[in-house]
Amino acid sequence: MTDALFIAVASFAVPSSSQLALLALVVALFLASALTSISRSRHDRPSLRVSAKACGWSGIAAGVVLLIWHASQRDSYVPLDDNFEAFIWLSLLLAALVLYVQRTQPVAGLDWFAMPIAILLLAAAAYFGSTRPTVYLDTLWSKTHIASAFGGSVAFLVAGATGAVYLIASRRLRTKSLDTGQRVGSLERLEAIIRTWVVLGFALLSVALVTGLVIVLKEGGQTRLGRHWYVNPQVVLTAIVWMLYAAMLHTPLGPGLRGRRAAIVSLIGLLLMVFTLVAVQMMPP
Amino acid sequence: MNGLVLVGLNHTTAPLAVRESLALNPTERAAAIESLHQRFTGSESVLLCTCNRVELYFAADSTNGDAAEPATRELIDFLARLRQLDAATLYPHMYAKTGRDVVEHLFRVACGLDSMVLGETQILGQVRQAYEFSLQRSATGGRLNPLFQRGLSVAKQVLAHTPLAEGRVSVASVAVDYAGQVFETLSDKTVVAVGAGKMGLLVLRGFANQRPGRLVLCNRDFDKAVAHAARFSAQAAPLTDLESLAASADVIISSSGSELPLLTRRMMEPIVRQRRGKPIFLIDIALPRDIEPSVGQIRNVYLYNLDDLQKVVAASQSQRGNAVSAASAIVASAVDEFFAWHRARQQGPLIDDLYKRAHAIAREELARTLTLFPNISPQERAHLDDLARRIVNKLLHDPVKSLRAAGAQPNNGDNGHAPPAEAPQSSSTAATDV
Repeated sequence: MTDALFIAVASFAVPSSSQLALLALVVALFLASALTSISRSRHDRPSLRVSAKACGWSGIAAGVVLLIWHASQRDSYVPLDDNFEAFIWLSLLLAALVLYVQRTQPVAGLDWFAMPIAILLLAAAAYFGSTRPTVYLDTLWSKTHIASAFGGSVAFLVAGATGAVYLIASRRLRTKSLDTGQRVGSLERLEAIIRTWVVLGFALLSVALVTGLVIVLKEGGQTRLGRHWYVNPQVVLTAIVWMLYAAMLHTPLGPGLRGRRAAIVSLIGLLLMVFTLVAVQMMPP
Repeated sequence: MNGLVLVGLNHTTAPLAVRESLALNPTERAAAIESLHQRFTGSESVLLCTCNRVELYFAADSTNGDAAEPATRELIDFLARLRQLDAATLYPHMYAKTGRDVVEHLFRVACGLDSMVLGETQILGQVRQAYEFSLQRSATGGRLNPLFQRGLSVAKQVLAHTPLAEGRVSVASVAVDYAGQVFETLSDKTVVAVGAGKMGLLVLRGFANQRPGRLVLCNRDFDKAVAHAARFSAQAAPLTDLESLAASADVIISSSGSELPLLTRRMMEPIVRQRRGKPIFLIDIALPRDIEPSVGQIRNVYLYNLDDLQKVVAASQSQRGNAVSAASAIVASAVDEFFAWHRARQQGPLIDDLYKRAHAIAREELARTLTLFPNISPQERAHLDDLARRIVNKLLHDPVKSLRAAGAQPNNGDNGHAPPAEAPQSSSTAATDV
């Protein structure tokens, strides 16, 4: 739903080769961070921990520079106007949130899953930013819609990454693994993180859906989604994700979002969200 | 180091019940130290009391020839009398050491090489507290002060320079550690222990230390359950309540002597369903097993048996073989250094006597010679005095140097075990725990 509501292109800047090179550096730093962190699952060493964090935060810093650079090229100091920036924003938000959660909570391993998704989003920025640049509506409704949709998406991605870590930790315990690698955190804490981010993501996604609905009703067929916006793949997939979590959180089935089930549901949500964000870009409008 | 004696017992020589019977509170320790001091004038003593050991370090007064050096049996009898115990019941569990063995034992204890959980650091604080306890009561002096100060220093050196304190090594600590990977905290959890066997109680103690929200000890013999539950501030329950307790339990530790499984898959499946995905952690350390192995296949159930836990213990111990070797080498070296220092210190009075005697002879001979020169001036006399003193010092320099070097070498006098009271056991090897 992040870029579901567009109007016709007004002005945008196709990323230059220098900007793409900087984007490649961000990708390299995120990749280095992910690989270093994954290597800690075998042999945990303080030097690896510091290296993984340094690469992650350096990548985020480089990404922020890239956003500012690209936005200033368009004489716009709101670096959130097109697909290129939107995907980079999502990627940086995801990476920063995961590093923040790992820093503030005694958990680890979220970046094993979050960093590859962040890299995928950066790749989407490089590809769709050049081929399908679009400009968002500049109204209060659209800003609210974008902010809540971004926040909701990233929250579900964090929950999904935590769900994946939960399944690994659970498997380690069930197989009585003797490995000496990094501890990822207790199942109870991982479950609490999943619940927190799922609830937050659900609330934000609800706001995004409502504001999106207001916009399409207000603008009629003026948005890029056209008159048949309700059958647009992004809208449908986002609605499915929303309904999935609504069922889990607010029906008599609940409180069913516990243990392995919570982890699996959050992983399904992650996959749907990635598909919504990236794969539908390749579909015809 | 003549007169240095250690008597004690620990987790490898005495069961929990014996250790508990000899555990002394601070008031009793103070009274014991005072009583020892009165009984053996000029003696020094330190009483180390932990949940895994009770040890009395004793140094007789070597300067007072009249002061009797107690036999180890006398010290054991003294400990027994403190708690109104029959000393004969303690003899089989006690060990006794003297001289160099005491020093080595203390150094190993202080750095956790003799602990149930190899390399645990809590013992260092306990040794320090025991020493300071005696120091504050003027019960230590020129013999135990350097010994304990060096022991604490060696322990810090071992902890700083070896990875001995890393890892986990007892079944109880492994079980608690695994529970920590399932639950963030036990403060709001219910822990149910089934059976009151030795191993089960050890694991229960590990969980009790985590202060769970509710701790229940369930046993076939309800009176026994009540007795043990009181020790851990737990509730007691009869075995017939097990099924209802299992429904509310987050952790179940089973160690009963039952021939048939107490928790079956058929019993556990509805319980797990009722928990709606909330994990449950089961520890089965009974032989034969109390929990059907197939229970571990139920989702959100984490079942560990004795073999699983002992594999971790074994892996952990083997991984730390190098750390133990390195720590032992540091201890051995420190013991040698301590004895070299001690022997060198013992040479002091002898060398002092040698110098005094030689200078006295020189002065005597000089005085005799000076009677032949009555007109000698005081200044010339002072020069001659100085000459005699320098000659004596130079003559004695090499012999004294050799004497000091010889004194620092080990000899046979410091390496004797005290005669055992009644077959006391040696504890010089590193303790291990299952």
